[in-house]
Amino acid sequence: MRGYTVEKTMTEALNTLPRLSFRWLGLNHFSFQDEIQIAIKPYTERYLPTDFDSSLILHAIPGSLDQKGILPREAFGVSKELVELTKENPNGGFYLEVPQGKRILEPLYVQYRLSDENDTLLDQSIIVAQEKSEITVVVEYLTTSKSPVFHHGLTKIVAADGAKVNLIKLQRLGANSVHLDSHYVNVGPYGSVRYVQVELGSKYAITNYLGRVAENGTANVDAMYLGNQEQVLDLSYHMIHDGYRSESDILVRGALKDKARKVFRGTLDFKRGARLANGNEEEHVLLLDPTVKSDAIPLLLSEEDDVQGGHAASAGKADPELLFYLMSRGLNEEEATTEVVKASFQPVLDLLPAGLRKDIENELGRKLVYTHA
Amino acid sequence: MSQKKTYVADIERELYDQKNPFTYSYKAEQGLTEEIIREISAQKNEPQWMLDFRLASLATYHQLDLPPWGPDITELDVDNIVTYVKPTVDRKYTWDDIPADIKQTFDLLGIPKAEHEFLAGVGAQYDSEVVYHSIQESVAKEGVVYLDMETAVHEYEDLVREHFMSLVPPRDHKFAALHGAVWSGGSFVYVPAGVNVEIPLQSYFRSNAPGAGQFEHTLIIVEPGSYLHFIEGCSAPRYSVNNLHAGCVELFVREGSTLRYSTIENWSRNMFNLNTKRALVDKDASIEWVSGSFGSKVSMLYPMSILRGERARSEFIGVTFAGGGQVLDTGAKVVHAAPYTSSTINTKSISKGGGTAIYRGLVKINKNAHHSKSTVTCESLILDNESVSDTIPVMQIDTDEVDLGHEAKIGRISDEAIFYLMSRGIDEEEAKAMIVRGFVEPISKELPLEYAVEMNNLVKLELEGTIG
Repeated sequence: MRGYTVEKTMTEALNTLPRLSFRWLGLNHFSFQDEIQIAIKPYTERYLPTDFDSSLILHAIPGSLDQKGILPREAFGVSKELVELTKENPNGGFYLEVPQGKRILEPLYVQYRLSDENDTLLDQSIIVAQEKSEITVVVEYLTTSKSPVFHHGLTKIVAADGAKVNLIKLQRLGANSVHLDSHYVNVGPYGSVRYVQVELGSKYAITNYLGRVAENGTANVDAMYLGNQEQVLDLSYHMIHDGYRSESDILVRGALKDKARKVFRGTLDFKRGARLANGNEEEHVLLLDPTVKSDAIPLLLSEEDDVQGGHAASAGKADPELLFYLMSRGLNEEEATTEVVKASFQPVLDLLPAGLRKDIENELGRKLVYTHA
Repeated sequence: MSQKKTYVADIERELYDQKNPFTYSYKAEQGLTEEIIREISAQKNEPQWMLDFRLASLATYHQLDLPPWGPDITELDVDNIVTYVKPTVDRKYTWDDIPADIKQTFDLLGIPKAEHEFLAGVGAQYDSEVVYHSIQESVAKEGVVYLDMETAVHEYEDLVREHFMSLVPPRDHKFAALHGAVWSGGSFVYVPAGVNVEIPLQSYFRSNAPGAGQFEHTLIIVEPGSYLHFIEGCSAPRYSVNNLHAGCVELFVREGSTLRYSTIENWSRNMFNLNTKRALVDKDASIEWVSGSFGSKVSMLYPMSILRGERARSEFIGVTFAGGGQVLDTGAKVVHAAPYTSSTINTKSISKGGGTAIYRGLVKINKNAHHSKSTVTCESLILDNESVSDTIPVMQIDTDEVDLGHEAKIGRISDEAIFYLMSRGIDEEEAKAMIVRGFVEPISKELPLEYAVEMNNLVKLELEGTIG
């Protein structure tokens, strides 16, 4: 495997909506303006922790991988093309299995430090939590040099009966980077999976999440993003309720500045048989400059009468009275805005481990104050 | 005045923009041909420009594809669209051919016998001529023009020529192009500045050209400071063997005026209802849409409001009730194209017996539309687990000074509410009906009394499963 290079040009549209709408809006999917070429070569830096609970099965990919029963029936991911490419040519990622009944309270840290040398990452990760086990995994993507990098991640989570998985992803790639991320989450009966997503870096952040929730299972998505300069975000979530009394909650908090643009695609999908299921999605975005663009497409699909589903979206400026109040207490406008953004992001920030939270808060401040760097 | 001239030139240009406008005439037998269009135009004794417009639309029709989104309309034979446009003589049908359920519904809704044959499309003109003429005369005193489109093309040629399909250009989509080529019938209303038309004008009370109600064109201009309430359609199911409806409604709402446009649509269950409605709203003016969709096999209907003047407003309230075999894809579109504009969209949809109700909408806030405000609320109710309800809204915001809120809910009739009503001596069916009536109440209260009563009757009929 060492020393090979796979080259590929992306051709397919990304993040296609599960239901198409008016064509002239150009929002049925995302397409790159320019051709994106991917050259995959081995990724040489260590990304897995050296010290972890010995009961865990954890090894790097590429390695032996039996994917039986953990591949979704339906198409998923940013695009089929990228999913296939990453499944066949991963140069990073891991397989993690938590044995039955094992509850790991200490978060497991995985960190990818992309650089001039390792400028392309296609990581495939599989997290299997056996019955009644529990785990928290933190995955961080960052760059250590200035040049742009390319990343596509493919993550599958299978939570068996009563298992609990927290996946926290932090994206802090450098400007001009391309970040693509596909997730498939399968929540078993009485299981619960929480996906916490923090998007702070890269030029493009195109992410996709497909969740399937069985009876009495719970799936949560808590996402925050801050787009500035010419950043482009296209965030897609599709939550499928298969089971009786399944629950889901998608909460997205964002802020856009300068010429940033964002598309939010959130779909709650109640299948026949998902009686007494309950799903919610919410997206709230703060628009900090007149030059931003913000699109939202919150779909609600249902084949079942006995469900409750709701979505709410709002967009607007930071509350001028709140800003005025903060400024009357001695903050300048940028500091006051930062506080308002942090307050809006609080429900997501609260889900981060303490050390990381401080880090992220500082980065938010930097991004909001020094945009013309 | 110079602006007017430019406008006309714009429309004219479309005619010449077509590279090979009439190259499709070789499809002699199968498709829709130039000859058929010429014949339609000649029958109406139309001016040359209208014939040219029809022919250019025909060329556009052949160029455009079907939308890749929305309900499945493959059952509609678009390659042989001429069968919908120009039925052959032997397709004539009589009262005996009308499906029994339709006849029954006329009775259940209490439609006078005299109207049955008219609604079923087999009688001579329903005797509404008298009503129509008296309405026409009473509003004419104030300078209001209320005519059928064919007459308007001759009597108000300049006005029609300036506005006709300027808001919904044939390029818009395939069925808009078809409409431009084969339109027939419809209403023309012109309300002069400052006139408040006190009685609602109802398209129902108008004599129509043969084949109207299928490709009818409605053009309404309300001049500054005026008010009009226009009511389209009726709650009785209208039957037609030509099961494609591709109407077009263009509303020009001038500065400071208000136009209320109400529709209760109940096409028979064989109809493909692909209708296009659009309003252009100037400074300080308001458009108010009230829309009830009950009938048809497939509907695609999204009235659009373009708020192009400062402080222009639009309000949309709609109810959609989809029963077995129906796919009703309805909603509203709003484009905020000026500062301080505001819009509300409030929809309720109900699906039962295997029906599919879809809300599809758009709120677009342009870059210059600072201080715009929009509120969207979509609620849907699914009455059993064979039915489907989807909500497909899009919000596109290109500026920061906005206040936008969107909310959608899928809910069920709570067992507690039914249990409570039943404990008060109401049987289960009636309890359900009461809850559904309560659900649509915000819409029915916006309708004139007789329409509200009819809508409640419709809801009741739908729930009993009498129709369809």
